[in-house]
Amino acid sequence: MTFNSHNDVVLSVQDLSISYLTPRGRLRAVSHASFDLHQGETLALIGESGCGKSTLNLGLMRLLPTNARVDGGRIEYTRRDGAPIDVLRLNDRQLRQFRWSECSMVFQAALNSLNPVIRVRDMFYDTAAAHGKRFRRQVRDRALDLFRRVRLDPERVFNAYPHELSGGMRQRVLLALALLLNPQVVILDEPTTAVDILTQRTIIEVLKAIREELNFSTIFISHDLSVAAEMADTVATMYAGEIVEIGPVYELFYRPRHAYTLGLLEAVPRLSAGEEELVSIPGSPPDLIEPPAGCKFHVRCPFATDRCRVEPPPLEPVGENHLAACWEKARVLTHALENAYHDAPR
Amino acid sequence: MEATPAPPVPLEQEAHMPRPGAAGLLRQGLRRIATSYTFRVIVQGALTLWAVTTFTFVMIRQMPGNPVDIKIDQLMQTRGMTYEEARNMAAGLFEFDPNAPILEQYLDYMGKLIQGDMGQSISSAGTPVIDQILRYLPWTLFSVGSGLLISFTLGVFIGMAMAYWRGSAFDNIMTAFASIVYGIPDFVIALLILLVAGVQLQLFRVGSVLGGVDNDIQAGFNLAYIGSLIKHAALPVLTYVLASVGGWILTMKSSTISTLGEDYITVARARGLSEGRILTAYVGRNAMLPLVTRLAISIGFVVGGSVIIETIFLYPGLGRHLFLAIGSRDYTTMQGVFLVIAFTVVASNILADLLFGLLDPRVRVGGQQS
Repeated sequence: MTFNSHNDVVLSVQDLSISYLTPRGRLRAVSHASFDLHQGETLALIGESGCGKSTLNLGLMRLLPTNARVDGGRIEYTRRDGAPIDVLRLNDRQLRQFRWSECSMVFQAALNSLNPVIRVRDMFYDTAAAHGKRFRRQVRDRALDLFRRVRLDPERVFNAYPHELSGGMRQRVLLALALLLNPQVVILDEPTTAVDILTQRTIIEVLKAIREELNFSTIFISHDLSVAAEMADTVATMYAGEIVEIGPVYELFYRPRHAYTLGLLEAVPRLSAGEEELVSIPGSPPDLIEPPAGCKFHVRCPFATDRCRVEPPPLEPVGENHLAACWEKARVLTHALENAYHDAPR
Repeated sequence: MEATPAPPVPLEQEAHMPRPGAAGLLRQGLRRIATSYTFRVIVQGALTLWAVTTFTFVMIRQMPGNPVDIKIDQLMQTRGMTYEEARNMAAGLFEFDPNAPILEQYLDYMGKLIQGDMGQSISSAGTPVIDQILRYLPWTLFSVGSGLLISFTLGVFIGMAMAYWRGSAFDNIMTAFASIVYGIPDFVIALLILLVAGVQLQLFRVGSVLGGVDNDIQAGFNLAYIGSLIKHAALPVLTYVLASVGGWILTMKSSTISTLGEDYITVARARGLSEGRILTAYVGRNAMLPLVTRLAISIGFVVGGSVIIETIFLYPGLGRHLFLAIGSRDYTTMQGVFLVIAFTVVASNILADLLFGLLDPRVRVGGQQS
């Protein structure tokens, strides 16, 4: 197989492109995305709404809506026993087995992710039964154990209907459900956006704790940079369907090389903010049916030059495991260091 | 301002002390029953029935051409009775004295009704109304009930299939079909079946399918009799199905489409559930919810909705019986049938409320979980 030199890569995405067929034309939602996810690693995907984060993750599980097409690329997954899986070539039956037992997902809308007319326990039994685990006793024991780990009252929640639980509780039920089959990869799609700040805190604490106990890799979608900084080992910035910068969390936040990453960082409020004000990124994300030429960010970019308007920048190494696609890397870095983010999220 | 002497403080406090005891518990228990949803629904239903009964009672006595006077006139003319004789006979038939105070008549009527006595039929003297209702009601329940069941089942499956294959040829054809039959009144469908299929195309002999059952077949639990029952019920049932299936199809389709867009369906797919399980427990059960209320309301109109169809097909059900009763000014019968109609509507609405609670835990009523 064509795997990287790292032998602990569990998920390798290579040159993945996904479009939606719309009445106006083809909308390129994810464009040539590549990254590797290592065992136990947490990768945070950050970027504005509509930048393709969710499409990318739905694509990883092949849950795209019917009007979406995978234009090219590979998704390679390595099972615990070392066997490789080519996700894009699985047939329906294999795909059903792959989903959830190898790669599960906690969806953004926790409130609507649970079937309102059946009990929580039936959703656990359903999931287990779909993967050949028909011994209810074992499923129950596993579920109750997971509920304890995510700090829920096990017996009560197990027998409850979704509407009897609060938003934060439902989010944790989903988390427990995602871990039921002990997957290697868990995708968390903005798990903290729909809940209040205290619940958010609890969920993050719970996540950090069980990540260590159960040893799974995580893809973490968020537009909350402080949460991303706290959770992630690696951060990838997405803009207009492309991964424009990817690197270790510390590197990326302290030495950003892409103007868009810098823009996101400058838009985060800081406690010690003195004279300097919050800077928002002007304009809005581009039309993905007819994207701008050159670097797609140039329209909104304060560093843009003539070159940016015509020539798309390649994703190049700028440090150890750190890649960025920007013609003005040096100026961006200088600007970032001048405005040193002393209290950037750690 | 007038200064009122303050009463001794301890006494005042004592007066406000809660006194737990048998009486208090009883009061608490009664309050819980009175505030329970099921109890309220049933009381509401009973009140509705009482209102309908009272209204028909008053209406029939206030109508121009008082039925008693009409009967008296009839008797005097056809049998050559004197006014006195005719009046006594009419009073016997109606089982009330038309000259008695209205309140007395009303109490008399209600008292008998509670005991299940709806009085005697006017047009066929000597037959209790309740006996006639019990004789005709099974026919209507059988034909309209099976029509409703067939069209509901068809509608649910077709509507769901259309939502799954949205935009396909099947979907487009069925949408057109459903909209067209939904727009045609049921009596037009009945007449079209009789005239086009029966008279013009001669697909069946019109004379042989009208009525309830062939007269020459011995009633009993045997194939010939059941076959005859089905043969005669087929056209009315077909009419009911055609007239109502469009509504079920369209409702189920839109309900399924919105359910398919719910996040929990995507999550169920992500969990690797089989399509069969998703179809039944996730899509089907949620998409059916809005239809359950409609189904119960339709059950309520089983009796009342069959008047014209049964008349067209000469089907011996309660609807045709009501039609004949209206024609012959058989007021006691009308009163009885109206009461049955009101009862089915009220009862099926109560059923809908309770059934909905069973299917959807979010509106489950009464038993608040602690």
